[in-house]
Amino acid sequence: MVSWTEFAEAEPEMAARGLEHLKIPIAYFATVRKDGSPRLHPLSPLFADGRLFVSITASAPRRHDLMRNRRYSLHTLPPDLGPDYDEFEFNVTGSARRVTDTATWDAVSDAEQARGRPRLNDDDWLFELDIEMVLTTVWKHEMVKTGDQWFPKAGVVPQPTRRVWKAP
Amino acid sequence: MEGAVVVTWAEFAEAAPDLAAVGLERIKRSEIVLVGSLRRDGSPRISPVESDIVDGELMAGMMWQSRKALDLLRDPRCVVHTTVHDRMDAMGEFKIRCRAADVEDPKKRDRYGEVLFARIDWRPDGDFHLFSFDIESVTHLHYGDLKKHFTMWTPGGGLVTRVEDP
Repeated sequence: MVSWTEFAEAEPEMAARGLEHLKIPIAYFATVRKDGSPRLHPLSPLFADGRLFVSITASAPRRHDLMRNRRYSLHTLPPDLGPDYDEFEFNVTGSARRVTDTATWDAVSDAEQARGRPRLNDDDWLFELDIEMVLTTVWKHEMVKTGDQWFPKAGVVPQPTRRVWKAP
Repeated sequence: MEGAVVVTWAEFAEAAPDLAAVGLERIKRSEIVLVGSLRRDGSPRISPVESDIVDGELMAGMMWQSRKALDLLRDPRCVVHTTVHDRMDAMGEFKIRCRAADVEDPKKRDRYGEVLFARIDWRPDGDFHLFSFDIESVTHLHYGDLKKHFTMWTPGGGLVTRVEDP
């Protein structure tokens, strides 16, 4: 398993496009509940020092998920519809590791503040996401304009282009 | 895993019409929902899928032998989540915990094809998996008036509503 930077060095193009989408700023994060069933929720991924993080509020029961089972999956949402719309999915899978050291905590808070967002709360739980596999899928649609909105042309289902990267 | 009470979308909508209307609007507006499933090793997977309500059942078709479909055949526990676009999306998060049931009945599969075709002018012509999502609980979370509004419905417990400071 590797950090975001190591992935980005190995696959710069995938990483650049993924970063653009991870900063939308909402992505979906899946964990495993106590009873073994899947849990899904939206969150904003955090970046600092070339590392990928998520923070979970102290009141959320899901913060315990990652302490029991470190496996996660992070998935971006498709971009807004427009004339050059590509349905682009970016998916990261791996293991999350809780981080409590002050230096990392401050680095993440500083990076968030620099993006105009709030710093971490003292009781947030911060996890670094170690990366095992990255998957991108692109569905290239033919777009048509109806009124002032762009839509994928009806009746056409494009073939997806997929790319997988696995950590060495 | 045994013993969980599950209902169809129609039964949920009859019991909690206002909450179902919110969910329906969200599902129709984004066309894509995210499905959380379990891989063979028990770790989570997220997959965007298109979802339709067909004769009172929440359904999704999936490519034949796709990994997400194989996940659901192995372990039906899943979560269906509508998409949100920003932190303070006024319509909020709508999520359904469910069991995916493999739909083999040719009549139901055909009805699914008709509903899909009516929406996107396309229907699958070869093999495909079709799942009906049996509902275990529904949660809607949204922000308004600087408060967090939480609504949950279960077949056994009915509606529970809570308003909290965010």
